[in-house]
Amino acid sequence: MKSKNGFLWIILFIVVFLLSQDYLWINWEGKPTILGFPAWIGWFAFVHVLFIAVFYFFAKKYWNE
Amino acid sequence: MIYLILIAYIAIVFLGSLSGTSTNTKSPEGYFLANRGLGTLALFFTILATNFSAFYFLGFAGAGYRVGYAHYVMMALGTGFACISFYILGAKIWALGKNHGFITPAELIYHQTGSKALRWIFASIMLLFTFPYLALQIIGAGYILENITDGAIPYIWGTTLLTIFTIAYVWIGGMKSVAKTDLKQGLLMIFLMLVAVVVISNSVGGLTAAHEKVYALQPELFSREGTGNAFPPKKWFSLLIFWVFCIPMFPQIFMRFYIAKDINTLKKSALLYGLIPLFISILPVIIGVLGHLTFPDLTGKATDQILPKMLAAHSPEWFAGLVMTGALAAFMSTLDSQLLALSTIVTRDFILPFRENVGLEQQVFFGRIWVVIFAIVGLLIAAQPFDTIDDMGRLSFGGLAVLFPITFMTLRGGGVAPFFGVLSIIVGEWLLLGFYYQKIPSEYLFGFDRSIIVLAVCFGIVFLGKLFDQKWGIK
Repeated sequence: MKSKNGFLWIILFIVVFLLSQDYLWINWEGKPTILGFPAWIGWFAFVHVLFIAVFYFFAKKYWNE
Repeated sequence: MIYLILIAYIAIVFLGSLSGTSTNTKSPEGYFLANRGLGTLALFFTILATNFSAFYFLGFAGAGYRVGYAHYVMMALGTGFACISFYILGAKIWALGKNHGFITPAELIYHQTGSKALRWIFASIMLLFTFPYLALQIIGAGYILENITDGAIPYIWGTTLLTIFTIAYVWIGGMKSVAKTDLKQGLLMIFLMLVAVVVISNSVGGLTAAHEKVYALQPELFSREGTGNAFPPKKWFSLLIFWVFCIPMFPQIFMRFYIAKDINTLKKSALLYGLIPLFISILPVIIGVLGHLTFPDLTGKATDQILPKMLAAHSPEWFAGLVMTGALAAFMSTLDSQLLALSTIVTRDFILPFRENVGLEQQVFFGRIWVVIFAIVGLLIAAQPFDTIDDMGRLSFGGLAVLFPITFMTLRGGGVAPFFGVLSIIVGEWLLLGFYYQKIPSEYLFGFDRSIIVLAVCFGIVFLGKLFDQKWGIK
């Protein structure tokens, strides 16, 4: 059971990592937006927070060593 | 004024950390590992302060100046992803260290493989490739002291002063004083950098307006790929996964996995370690990007000085002095950890195996002597820096990451014949240096970062070793 869960967590982490490979589906413009930062920084901030959320639940539910 | 700030800061942060440490420095576990009793915040900040160093303050600002905001995302997300290695390796390292009393990384490798050759080559690589990163802290101190004193303390004197002071308090306090210093230093460093960004951006007309001006001058700094297409897709992929393999292999980080009080401490520290780079990595990069408004023509190693230059140009003297002293203390908190880790490695992995009758207090004494020797070696490297801060750091990181595949196989992959471990390290370092010194053509990188190609070869060797062992019993 544990190894099956482990596989699901690996998939989840891979999905988050793939979200960071943004060049696969988008070509960002660098134009300044909020506070002058380019919009793509917002995307990566989202991916970062998502990763931390996944890691939080991973540490809580799976990491029992 | 500057000198007053410098002296007061150092007295408060560092000398305060020495109080109450004398009882912890009589045994190797006390001196080198703070008796394996650090709580979440202390552990997190000691890891953070160890990472965020001259490479963070000067290197990030310099890279922000050269490459732009893409550097921020690469570093923040890349080091954020690295918290997964707290699980992959950190948890095992912590548990084995606690059960068997390991102090150095190579002791664990020796215990798991039984190979003295692998132990020594593992320890030697940790020593050798930590030196460029260690020297960066001393170089950074030289730059800072020269800048904040307007040249009154020349570069070489700045590097020497920092080295002497760091030797003194590591000699007295060991890991406990290092960790206490890191906690105070980490909190102060984040606060000061935040204020520095506010002060500088206000001085150049506000963040939004300043960004628009920089965008009009250098739009590539805002591009996702960075200036000069610094991060094309394959390089982006490489650098985002690289830190997972690299960060746990810093000797000072590896040894911090031993010092967690319990597994929950390690988990919480991992979570914080993943999250915090999102907020703090951007601060020096902003200053680097805005640097184009005031200093538009810096190139090469000179870009590493954009942070002190911007502070000097856009903030009151006392504030610039305070931030730069904070940066200086950050370099010291990295340098002390590195010196302590390296001296521990030499004492435990190279002296003890040959002199078994060395007592516990003698081990601590040997450790202190090696702190002095390694600090002098670092000082000699810093006297003539061989590259930019970013590139020297990356050579060091790449060299240490080569140790990941054999460590992973030893802890999580069911073990591998030591021969293949040694082979993976030798081939890995040979390839890395070949690419760094351009003896091997960069076409063989196929567009990826050199560290990832090197890691792929090293993983290939240890997996092949595992296969030979399983199928044909070939050791």
